[in-house]
Amino acid sequence: MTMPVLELRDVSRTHGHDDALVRALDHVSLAVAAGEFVAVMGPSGSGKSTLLNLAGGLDAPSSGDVVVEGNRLGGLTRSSLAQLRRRSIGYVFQNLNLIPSLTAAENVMLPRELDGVPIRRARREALAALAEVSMADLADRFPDDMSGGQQQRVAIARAVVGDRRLILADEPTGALDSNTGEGVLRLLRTRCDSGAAAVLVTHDARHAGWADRVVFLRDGATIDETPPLDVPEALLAGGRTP
Amino acid sequence: MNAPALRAALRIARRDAWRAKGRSLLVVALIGLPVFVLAGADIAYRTWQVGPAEKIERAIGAADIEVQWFGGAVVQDPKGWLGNGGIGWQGASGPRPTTAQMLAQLPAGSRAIERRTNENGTQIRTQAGLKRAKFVGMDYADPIARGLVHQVSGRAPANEHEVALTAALSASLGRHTGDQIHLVGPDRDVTVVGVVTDASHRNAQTVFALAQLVAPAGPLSPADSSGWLVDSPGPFTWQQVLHLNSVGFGAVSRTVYLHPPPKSQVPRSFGGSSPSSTAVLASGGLIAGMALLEVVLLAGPAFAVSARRQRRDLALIATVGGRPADLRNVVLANGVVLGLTAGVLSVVGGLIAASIGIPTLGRLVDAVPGQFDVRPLEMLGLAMVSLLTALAAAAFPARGAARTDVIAALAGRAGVMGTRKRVPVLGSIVAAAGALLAIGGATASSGTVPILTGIVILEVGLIICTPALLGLAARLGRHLPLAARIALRDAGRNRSSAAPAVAAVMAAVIGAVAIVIGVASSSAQQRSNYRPVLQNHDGYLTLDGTQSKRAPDIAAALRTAMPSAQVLVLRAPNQDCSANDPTCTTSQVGFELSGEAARRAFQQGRYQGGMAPQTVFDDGAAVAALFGTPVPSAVAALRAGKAVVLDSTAIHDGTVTVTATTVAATAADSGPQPSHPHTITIPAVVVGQGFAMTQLILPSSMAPRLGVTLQPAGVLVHSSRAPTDREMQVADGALNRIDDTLSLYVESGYHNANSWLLLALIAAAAVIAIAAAVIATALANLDSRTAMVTLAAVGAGPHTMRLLSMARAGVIAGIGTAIGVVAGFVPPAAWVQATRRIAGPPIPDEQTLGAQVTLVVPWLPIAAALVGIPVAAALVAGLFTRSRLPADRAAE
Amino acid sequence: MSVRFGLLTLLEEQPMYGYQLRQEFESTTGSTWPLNVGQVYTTLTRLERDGLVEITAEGDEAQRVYSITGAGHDEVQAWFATPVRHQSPPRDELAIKLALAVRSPGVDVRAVIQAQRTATVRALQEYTRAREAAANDLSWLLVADSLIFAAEAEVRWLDHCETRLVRHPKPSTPISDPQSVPVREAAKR
Repeated sequence: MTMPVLELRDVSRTHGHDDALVRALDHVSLAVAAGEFVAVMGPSGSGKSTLLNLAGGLDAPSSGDVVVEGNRLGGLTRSSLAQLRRRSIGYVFQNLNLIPSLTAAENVMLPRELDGVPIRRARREALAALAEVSMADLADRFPDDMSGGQQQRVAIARAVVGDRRLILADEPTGALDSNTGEGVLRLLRTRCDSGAAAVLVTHDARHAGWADRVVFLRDGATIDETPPLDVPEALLAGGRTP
Repeated sequence: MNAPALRAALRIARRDAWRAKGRSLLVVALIGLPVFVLAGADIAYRTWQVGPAEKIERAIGAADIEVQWFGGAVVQDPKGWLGNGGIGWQGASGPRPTTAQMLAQLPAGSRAIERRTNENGTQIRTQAGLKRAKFVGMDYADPIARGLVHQVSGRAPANEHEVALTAALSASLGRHTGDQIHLVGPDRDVTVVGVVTDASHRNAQTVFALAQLVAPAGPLSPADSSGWLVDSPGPFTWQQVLHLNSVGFGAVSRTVYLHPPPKSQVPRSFGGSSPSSTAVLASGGLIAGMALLEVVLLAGPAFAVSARRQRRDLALIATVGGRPADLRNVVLANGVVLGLTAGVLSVVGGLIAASIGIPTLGRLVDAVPGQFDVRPLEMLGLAMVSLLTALAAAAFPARGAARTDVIAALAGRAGVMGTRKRVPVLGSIVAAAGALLAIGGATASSGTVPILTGIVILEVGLIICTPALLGLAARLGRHLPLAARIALRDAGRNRSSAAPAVAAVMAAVIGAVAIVIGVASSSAQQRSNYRPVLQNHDGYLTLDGTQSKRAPDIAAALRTAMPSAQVLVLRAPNQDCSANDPTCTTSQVGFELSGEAARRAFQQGRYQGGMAPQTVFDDGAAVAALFGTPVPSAVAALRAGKAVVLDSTAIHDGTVTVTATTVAATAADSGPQPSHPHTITIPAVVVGQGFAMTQLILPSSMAPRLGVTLQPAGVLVHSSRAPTDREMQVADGALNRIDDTLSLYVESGYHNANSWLLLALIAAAAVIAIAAAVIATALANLDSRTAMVTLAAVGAGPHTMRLLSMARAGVIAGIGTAIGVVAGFVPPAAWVQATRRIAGPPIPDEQTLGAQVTLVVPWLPIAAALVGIPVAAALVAGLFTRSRLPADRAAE
Repeated sequence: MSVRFGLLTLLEEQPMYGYQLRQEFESTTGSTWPLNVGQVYTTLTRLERDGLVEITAEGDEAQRVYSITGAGHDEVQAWFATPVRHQSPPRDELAIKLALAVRSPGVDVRAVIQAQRTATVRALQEYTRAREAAANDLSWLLVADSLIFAAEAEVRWLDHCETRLVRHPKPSTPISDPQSVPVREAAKR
């Protein structure tokens, strides 16, 4: 297969030492290709958030390598890691994704501005991203004047602006009702269909159902993984055609 | 450093500042207030600082030069007497030249008018008594004098029976145009023909007449500044001034004043920038720096709180790829936004306040201001100061922001907070260095610069230590009740906001304690050095030439006002010739002490000063009053025609040699040549006991033998108790009716003149300290609303909220005061060191008994501050805390 | 039971032939409930016997037209008004399986749970895909959703079981161990 967008090679993350040693992640390996939507499921404390923090370079592994688009994160400086987050990686959190004193468009253009992109071009890119998530007419509204679902969609727009290839989502629908949440997940699915890679961390099976592949974590280690899906609707033998 | 990222940071800062209006307003007020005051003060200073063109016009009107006679060889500064006192002359004065003689030294075609000035030259008889006024003889209507005097009503005097009064004098006398007044100077009735105002002094009380009416007091008298105003055909050059100098004249030329000659052409430089003025500038700068440091500390907590509020936002910025520098810039941008706002508002506000206040102020103050003078560069500089102060206040939180623990912030956790071990060590070293510099600097060199620098460094060092001290204090809180424990732990965890507040309190308290100790030490020294000039509770009144004639009336008035006191008129030869009387003479009578004896006299506390004349002519009546007790031997001696001296060293073989020198006032024009002195030797008696005001008492029969005439020189009021306020009032009233410059001095021992100023400074420092603690508490309360709600949920009553606020304020104020009190000993210790070094070994002299300054510590006020400031802060904070608990957790 | 009411509801719309009913039923429930013709005719006969349905056009089986009666209409209304009673858990088989696994000595219960979890999530993935493909067909969406939610409920129950297991670990020796059967019983055999 072509080079995976994200690769965790035998990654471990421990805190403390001796008696107080805590293994947040224990020799985890994972590869996510372009266009692939991977869900990571597990109970709280299983290391899901740690995995996501490591994938985006917010945290460094105690052993093993994290590779994003061919770049070994361990060999990068702080500012190179920051650059990676400006250009290649997008994060979406469960809530409080947006800076309250910036409008939707300004929130979305933030990574571009931090990268030195001139304001006019950054705004154009932001509006394009907002259009993708059907939030273009809310471009100049403040987060306080938006519903939770709208905020999440704007957050996703920010995660994909500038054609970023890796989306890391931490329970993005946790604070939303199921229909709105489905809209958000559908968005991620569509995005992956256009070529991005997404890692979704969740404890909700219904959300995991949207993924191409589900990885199960327990106590910091992967314990199972769903087999690959082939043609859609394989189960519905003799079923309706759309 | 890229522009869009900075713009984004500024955008976030701008919006956040608008959203948290209360906090923003607080910061803008804190930072803007000193700049506002400085802007107003700068404008006022510049406005009152008259420019050279205006200055010269106020001095000499439309004339080209003003010429004054000194005699001998004159050396002057190009600015003459308008500069820093730059005129000197050597040799005899000789007689005053006439106008024609003076003009002869000037280029042909010059024209001059005389201006004779005598500061106390005339008295005007009024219903209430005599009023003194300045007497100026000049035809101010002449075009040469245009600009010196503004005619308000009426016209200029045209002959010797007409005068014009200044508006202030006219109002004070109740005399207006058309009235008649009697001048006691030249002793004639004159008509007031006009009312004028002096261009430089609003409240001047001056009589303007023609020159011939005014007798000059004499060129050696400081009351005299007579001269000529000259209109010369062309500009009067420096070379021409030098020529005038060579023939005994001094001159101030408009041309030379506005365009001074190069230094090479000036024979001797006067004044100029003395080394002490650079030191003054440096000291002023350091003090201003300390004040700004205090403002930075006061504003610090607000920035720290807003940085903490922004924690989630900062973490988000990091996740979208913000570098640590970007995070730091967001917090610094807060400083930029608020600092610029404060700068603009305070400068504009200062402008407005000045434009309203200066006219009002001008009416109250004597000096007439010039044009409204605003210097744009200085205003810009002040606005920059605002900006820099805000940036400095935001710097510490900005550093913390750059090191945000992103993962913890995203998870909503507080994150680990700790100060690296080496920071308090560094701080202690810096503080110790500062203390050493201050005290050592005082020992090694004179001047305040090393001391002040040392104090600043000491403060900075302590400020660096503060966060670690807070951490330490937090751990010690285990044994304290709940509210105090929470407050201490909170302060320890939120060091970026608590530390500046503690440091602000500390800085204010250092100032207060230093002032208290310094003033106490200084007062103690002054008290032990104090020389009373009279017996305790006695009063004395000096009489000048004119007042001397009214002595009987004055004595009668005092006897009526103070019936229980003994009122005596002391007689001595005349010593004052300022009263416009050409025949006046002055005499000095005394004995010579050899050098050794003189020094010993000083060392024994005998001094040649005091209020009474050194030599008094009396026949026994005044002895008891002068000595405070009856001295029969002295009375008997005087009756027998002997002299009474207080110092045995003056006596040889039972006699004392007394010399009298008499000088005529007008003869003073031809130089200080005394007429031949008279010397007599008479038997004398020593009264070595007690304390007396004079050195020598002679029987009045000796006066003719010495060639002097006696007249009343002063009135002594001898009493066993201090006069009551009522008695003083009656006495003052009666004296003013006779002559309004008479005032009775009553000896009442040492008192501290500046006690009110001292109290004001201490109060200001205490207010600042309390304000710092209360502000920090309010911010901390705002910051921890969720914790408050949790407390409410577990059943804490409304009192707990209030108690917690009080504990927070008390903790911050307490820690700051404790450190401040200890550190506050350093500045006065250094000052004492410096003063001792400058003063040198103790020598009693005319002014002091030679007591050295020592460190005196008033323990009571300091202990009061140690307890009082934290308690006061706690009470104020408690007062302003709402007792209702916040209910909505989600609103956080 | 639902087949009965399903046919009745369809007849509410209009009278139909037997094979028509079968077609319509399958298309409404998707291929999740395939019916064979025999089942349909049997149910129809029962309905006619109960007076809820009547034959309005005679003929042999394939040509008969069925219509709903007034009583049938009332039945349908009552059925819609009455909520479905919860009787048995979604998959009895799974519950029994796990209950047995806890008792069996050589069985790693957590592995069983995880294997089931993986399989159910896998099914969830497929249901989700299918539902997305269903576009705007509302009945189809409802049924698909019910499958999804049921699968989710199962996963949640599995998580719950796992937590319970962690707290009350399996006893090391099972209650009925062949070795521990008393000698007397063995002798009896």
